[in-house]
Amino acid sequence: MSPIDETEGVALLKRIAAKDRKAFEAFYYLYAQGFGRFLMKLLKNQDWVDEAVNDVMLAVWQLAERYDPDKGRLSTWLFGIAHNKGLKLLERYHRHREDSLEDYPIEFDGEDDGGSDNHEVGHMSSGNPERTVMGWQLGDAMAWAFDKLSVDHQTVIELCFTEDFTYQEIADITGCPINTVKTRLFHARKRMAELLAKKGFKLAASEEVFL
Amino acid sequence: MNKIDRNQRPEDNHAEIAGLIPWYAKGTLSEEEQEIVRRHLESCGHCRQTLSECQTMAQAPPTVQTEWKPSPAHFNRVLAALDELEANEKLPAVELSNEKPVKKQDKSGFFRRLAALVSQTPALVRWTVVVETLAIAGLIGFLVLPSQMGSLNRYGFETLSDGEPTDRKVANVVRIVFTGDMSVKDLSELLKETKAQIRQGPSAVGAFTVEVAKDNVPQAMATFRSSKDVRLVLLMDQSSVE
Repeated sequence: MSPIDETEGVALLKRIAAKDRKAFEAFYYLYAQGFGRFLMKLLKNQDWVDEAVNDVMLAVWQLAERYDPDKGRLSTWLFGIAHNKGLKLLERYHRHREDSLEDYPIEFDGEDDGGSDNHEVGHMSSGNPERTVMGWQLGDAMAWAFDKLSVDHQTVIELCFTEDFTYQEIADITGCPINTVKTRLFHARKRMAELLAKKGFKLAASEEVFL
Repeated sequence: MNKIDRNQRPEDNHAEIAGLIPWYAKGTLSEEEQEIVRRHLESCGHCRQTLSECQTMAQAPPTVQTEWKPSPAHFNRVLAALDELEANEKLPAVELSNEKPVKKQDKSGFFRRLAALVSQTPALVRWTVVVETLAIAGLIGFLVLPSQMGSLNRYGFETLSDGEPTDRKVANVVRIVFTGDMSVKDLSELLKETKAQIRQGPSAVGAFTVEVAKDNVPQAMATFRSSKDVRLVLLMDQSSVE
């Protein structure tokens, strides 16, 4: 998530607390895409995400006066609401996430990379067409593996790697202790690696890392 | 968060530091934590591998279906929901008639609460309460309605003092002492023969007070006196004897 100037968001929220609908609209266009993308990762359904975003915005309207900047960032507060609404929607619609491992959108053709069935993926390099192609396939594989995770695992991965929240903020958003957040992320990464391995993908094993 | 103790051995801090690597990969640790993890990575190959995996995950390009975009159409739906929310908040309590609906709601609310309480009660407890209630109701009925439930007539018993009460204006009183070995059957037959009814007794000395119809006194007295089961018979109301 690209950083948003929270000063503007906090100012808008104060006006929303005074029932200013213009501020409400501005707030919507400023923040809805961020937590909407997060909800899409969890719910995987456009209609459900529409409904969840709707619920979040109504909650913002009702709870605007309760936000205290001293207690945390606005995005943390907002994502906490989005997380709760997303989970409630999932419970309501009884989503089942036991999909078949064979439900994979793209089959990798081993001949395309010289006959190897082992796809060891390094870091992305935009100047290399082959890596760009592999990047697309990795993205699909990652999306497929991500979809197989539990909601809790998806949440921590998304909040850490996509939304750039600290572990303390993730703990605040999910209402869990910090150690629980760390443990969940550990198991989520481990599960992702197992799922990717089933499809012949392996996360980088090289020790050449950017410290 | 468990603070990383700089005085601890590196292997003791390893688990704590390894848990921070995802956030190190994203650059969202504090400066102090970032430095601690960086120095640890210089000497730990395992954690460097973990870091590599986290960086790959962080750099994986998003797929199209994960995007959600706000739109004027969607925002209009948000506003419509907001209008409905505010309309419901402003709606006053509606009274459809001059009646007092509160009590009615209380009743329905009471029964609803009662139903909720019953549903929360275990089945065994519910059945126990039902059985106990029925037993208590049966006992109360037995006590309150003795003529219907306490009578022994339906079992075929007939007491010696049963029968319609004799009109005292047309009856004489006789005191009788029966023999000790007289059976109930013989006594019942004797009373029927003399058209007499026992009204009291036996007393402490074994005497019975018997009523005999006035128009049958002589015959009854003669029958009593001739019976082998009668030890003593005495007509109490001499004025009635003809």
